[in-house]
Amino acid sequence: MDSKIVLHLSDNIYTNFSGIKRLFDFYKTASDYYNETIYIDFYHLNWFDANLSALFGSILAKLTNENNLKFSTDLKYLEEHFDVLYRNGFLRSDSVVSDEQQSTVSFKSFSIEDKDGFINYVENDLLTHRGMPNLTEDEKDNIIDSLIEVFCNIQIHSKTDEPFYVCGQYYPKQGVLTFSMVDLGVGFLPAIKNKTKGVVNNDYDAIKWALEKKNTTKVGRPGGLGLFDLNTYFGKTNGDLQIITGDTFWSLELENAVMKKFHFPNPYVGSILNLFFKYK
Amino acid sequence: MNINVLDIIKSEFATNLTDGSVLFEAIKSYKPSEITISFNGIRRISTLFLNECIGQYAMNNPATINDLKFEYPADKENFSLKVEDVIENALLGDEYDTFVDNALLSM
Repeated sequence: MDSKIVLHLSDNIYTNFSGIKRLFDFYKTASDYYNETIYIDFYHLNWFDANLSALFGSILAKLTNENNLKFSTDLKYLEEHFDVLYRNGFLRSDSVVSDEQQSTVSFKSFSIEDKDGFINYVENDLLTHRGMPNLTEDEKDNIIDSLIEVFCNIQIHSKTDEPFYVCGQYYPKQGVLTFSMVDLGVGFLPAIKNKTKGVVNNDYDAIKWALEKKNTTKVGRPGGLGLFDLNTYFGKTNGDLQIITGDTFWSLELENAVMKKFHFPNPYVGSILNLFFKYK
Repeated sequence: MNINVLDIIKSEFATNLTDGSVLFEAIKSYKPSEITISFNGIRRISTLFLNECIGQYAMNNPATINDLKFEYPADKENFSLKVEDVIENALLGDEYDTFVDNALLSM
């Protein structure tokens, strides 16, 4: 008789290098299996940043589609200890689960063609959230436009038809709303390496290149402003922006630190943006 | 001649590459002095969209692009800033790319 396959998520999974590394390592371990049911053990997990449901959801979907895996877990335990995963729509329950704390921004996935769905989500779920800073109309417009641009860029650069995953969480004690966006494409480097004729040849430099105001990978077109505008906004507001692509974890906050380059031993796919809106 | 973006892309969100290509196809055969591009009824635009239509059009018409006229919705003043930025980016073009490439080479 086959033994049960159990994978653990343990300790704390925060929106930082260490937390994301834990999820990448989970993906790496699970991706060695095919046509199996994997039991996910949450018993030793103390904390899970709920916005990372976007990344975790993308991992489970990818493993389900590509490795024909199924997942099981102790749902009752999750309902008792990680009810936020029900409140944000990551997990479904027969009983009615309301987000009374109003701390979640729903977990959703969008087809890359679904610009209307994504824009409506950003306008109605994200920007109206109680955890968002008091934004001027101009700031609001800039943020929406930048997020739209990131979304639309995925259509061109990611070379994938896989959905795009989003989720947010407001942390009242820290006065921060963190919003995560995940695509399952090829990441930043291939198109940028091609565009720069190999001058940019690693993930860290590719991220820095993509953050420049006029850079674009499209031949014969002027550059975009999405990441540049987001980086500028979070720089001005003492928030943070994290970009994870290839083997690299980049963060606006870390750019002023001595150690600014962090690399994953088991990289995932595509790219992840984590936006940290500081409540003013 | 008035070119209404809403009529052409059939969406109030002028955001993606396809929308931009459709608008570019609609304007590319006109001289800048012959058309006014109207954004009335458009709620969202992205620079990605603008790059694809106005940016590309500016690159094809660098000497006369200033003759191109625009109409914007009353509550969307920032549309004009984005359009100006995209035109400026387009006209900097290769000069800027060369500057960035040289800077990277010297790193």
